[in-house]
Amino acid sequence: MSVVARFRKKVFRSKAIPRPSRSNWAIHGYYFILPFFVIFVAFQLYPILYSLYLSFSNWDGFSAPSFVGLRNYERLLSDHLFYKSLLNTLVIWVMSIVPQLFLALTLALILNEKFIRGKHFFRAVFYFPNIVTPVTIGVLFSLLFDWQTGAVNKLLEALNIVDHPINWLGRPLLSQVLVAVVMVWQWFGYNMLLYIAGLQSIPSEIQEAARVDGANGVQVALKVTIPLLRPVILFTIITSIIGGMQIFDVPFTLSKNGPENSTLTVVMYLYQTAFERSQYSYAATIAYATFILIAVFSLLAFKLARSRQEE
Amino acid sequence: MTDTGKRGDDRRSAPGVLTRGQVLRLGGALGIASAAGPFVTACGGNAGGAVPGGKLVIWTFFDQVKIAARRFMKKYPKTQVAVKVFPGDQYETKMRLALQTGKDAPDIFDTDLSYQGKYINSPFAEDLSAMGAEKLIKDYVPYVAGFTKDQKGTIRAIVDHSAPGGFWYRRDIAQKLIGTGDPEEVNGKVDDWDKIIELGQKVVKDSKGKVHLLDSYNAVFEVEQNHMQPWVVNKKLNIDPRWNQALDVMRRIRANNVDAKLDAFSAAWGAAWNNGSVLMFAWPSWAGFNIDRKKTGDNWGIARAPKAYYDGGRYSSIYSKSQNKELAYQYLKFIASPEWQNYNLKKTLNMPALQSVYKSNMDTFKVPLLSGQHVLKTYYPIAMDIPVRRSDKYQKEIQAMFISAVSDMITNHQPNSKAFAALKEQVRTTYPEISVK
Repeated sequence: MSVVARFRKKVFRSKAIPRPSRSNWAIHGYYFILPFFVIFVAFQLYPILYSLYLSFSNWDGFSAPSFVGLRNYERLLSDHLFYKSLLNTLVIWVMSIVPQLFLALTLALILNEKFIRGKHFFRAVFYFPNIVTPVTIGVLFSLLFDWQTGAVNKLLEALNIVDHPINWLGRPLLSQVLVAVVMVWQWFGYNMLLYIAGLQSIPSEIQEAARVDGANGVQVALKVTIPLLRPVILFTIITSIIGGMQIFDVPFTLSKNGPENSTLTVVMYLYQTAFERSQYSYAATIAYATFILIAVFSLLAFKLARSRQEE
Repeated sequence: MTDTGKRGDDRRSAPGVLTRGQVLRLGGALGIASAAGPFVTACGGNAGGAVPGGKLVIWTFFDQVKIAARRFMKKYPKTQVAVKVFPGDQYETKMRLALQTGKDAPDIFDTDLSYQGKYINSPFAEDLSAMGAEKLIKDYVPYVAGFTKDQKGTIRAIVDHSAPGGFWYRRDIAQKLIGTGDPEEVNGKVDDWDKIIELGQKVVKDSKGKVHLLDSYNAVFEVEQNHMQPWVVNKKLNIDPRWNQALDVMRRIRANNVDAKLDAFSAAWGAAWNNGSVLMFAWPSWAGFNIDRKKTGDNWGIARAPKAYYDGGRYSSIYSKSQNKELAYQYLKFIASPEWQNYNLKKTLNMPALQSVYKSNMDTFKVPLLSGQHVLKTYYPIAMDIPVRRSDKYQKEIQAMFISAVSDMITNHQPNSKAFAALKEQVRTTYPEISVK
C-alpha cells in the first residue's frame, strides 16, 4: 500500500472526518491546478486576446482604442519595411543557423568520442557564450568591430591584410554577416549540448555492430548516429526557427537598424512600431503576422522531417 | 460659500424661528462648507503665495531633479517631494504605462525633448496656461518658451534650463594646431562651414593625421536642423530645399577627412573627448559630463558654431489626473523662478531658461573647466538666436529617420536624392497618415 493510500485510510477511519465523495476529491484537484490557470489567463491568454483585439483597432496609447476592422492588416500587406524586415530576419537566420547547427553537430560528435581527453572542459568552454547576456555580446562585438578603433581592424591593418579599416557596420551584407556570426558564437554551444545529450541516449551496441560489420568512423556517424539523432536535430531546427524569427537583442545592441535597414528584424520593427512610435495597434498586427509565419515555418519543418522519417 | 449663506438668511420667513426645511438646508450648507473648506483655503492661500502641504510624486530620468526637490522642500517645509528616477531608455515606456492606467502615476512627469511632442499634445499633460503659467515663461529664452506649448499654444510643460550649443574644444590643442585657444579668436575661424572645412584639412595635415577637427559630419546636422522648416506641415512631408546645401557640406567634410568618423556615444567617441584625437565637438551646454578633467585639465573653451543651435531639454508636466495639481503647480513655479535657476546654474552648470538669470550672471559667472570663459556671454546670444518652434509628434522621429538615411548616403558615396528617397519611403511606410510626394 502506498504512503498516500495508508494516510487516507488512517485519516478517514476517524468518524469525526467524513470521507469525501469521489466528486469532492475531483473538486479539490481543481483547486490545486487553479493557480496555474489564473496566472495563465491573467498573464498569457488575456494579453494574447487583447493583442488580437488591438490588431483590429487604432490605438496610440494616448486615447481609447477605436475599431478599424482590417485596416492594419491591409497596411501590413503593403508595408515594404515589414517585408524588408522579414527578409532580413530570414537572411540572418539562414546565415546563422546553418553554420551553427553544423558546428554544433560536428563538435558534439567529436566530444562524444571516448578517446577525447578534457571533453568536459571543452563542453563547458563552448557553452560559455550562451550564458553571457546578449546585450553584453552586442556591446563587446561592436567594440571589436568598430570602424575606426576596433581591435579587428587594427589587427588586420597590422598584419597588412587591409590598407584601410573596414566599415563592418556600414555595409548591408557585412552587417548581416556580423550579426549572424555573433549568433553562431552565442548559440552553437547550446545546440552542441543538446546533440551530446541525444548522442548519449543512442545505445552503443548499434554503433559497435556497425563497426563489426566494417563501417569506418565517418560511415558510422553518417549512416547510423545522425539518422538516430534525427528527433534531436528536428527539435533544434524547430526551436531555431522560433528563435530565429524572434531575433532582436543582438542586432539591436550591435547595429540597430544597420545601413539601409539591413539588420532591422521583424521583432525590432515590432518594438520600434510599438514603443518608439506609439503605434500599438499596428505593432499587434505585426505580432500576429509573425506568429502565423512562425507557425507555418514550424509546421513545414515538422512535416518535412516527418516525411523523411517515414521514407 | 458666503453668498449661499446670505441667500439662505434672506429666505427666512420669520426671524428667530427655523422651520424643519430651513434647518435641513442650513445643515446641508454647513456640510458643503466644511467639505470644501480645505480646498478654498488652499486656493486662497496660493493666491496669497502660500504653498499647501502634502506629498508630491515626480517621475524623471534625470538624477539632478532630486536637488530641485530638496530645495523646494527646504523652502516649503510642510511639503514632501518623492522623486523616482528611472535612468535609461525604458523610462518612457514605464511612464507611458503609468499615465495610461493612472495606477501609481506621478503628479509630475518629465519628458525629454526627443519624445516630448507626443506628450505635450496629449491629454496626459495638464493645461498650465489656465493655472497662470504665462507669467512663468514671460522672461524665458524664446526657443525654450516655444517648447513649453502644445500645437495650439497652450502651456503644458515647464523647464528650468536651456541647452544652447557651440563647439567645445581643447585650448592647448587649438593653440598648437590653429594658432589660438582664445574663444573670441576661434569664433572667427569656425563661423562658416567653408572655413571649417579648410581649417579641418590644415589640422589633419599639421597633426600628421593624428587629430581631426570634428568628431563627425553630424555637427552640420546638429547645427542646421534648427534652421530648417518642420518636417511635417499640414499632414504633408515637407523637405526644406536647404537640406541639399547641408548634405553637400557633410559630404565635403567626410571627403576632405575633416571628421574622425566617430559615432556619438560610441566608446571611441567617448575616449576622443579626452585623448586629444578630436579638436572640436559640436555639443550643447550640458556636454561637460564627457570630460575627464584629470586627463584634459581645465583647459576647454566654447566657440560659436556657424549658426545658433540647441540640443536636448527636460520638460516637466503635471499629470492631468493628478489629485495634487495645486502643489504640483507650486513646484513648477519654483523651478521656473530666478531663485532656483540661479542656484541650479551654480550647482549643476545647467544654463538657465530665464533671460534675467543669463543677464545677471553674464559678467560674473565663470566655469573653471572653461579656463575662466564667461560662458553665459557666449551662450546668451546663441540661445536668443535659436528659431522658436513647437513640438509635434513627428519632428524628432522623422529627424532620426533622416539622420539614418544621410548616414547611409555618406558612407556609400551616394547622391543627396538617395537620402531624400529613402526618407520618403520610410515616412510613407511608418506614417500612412502623412502625405508624401
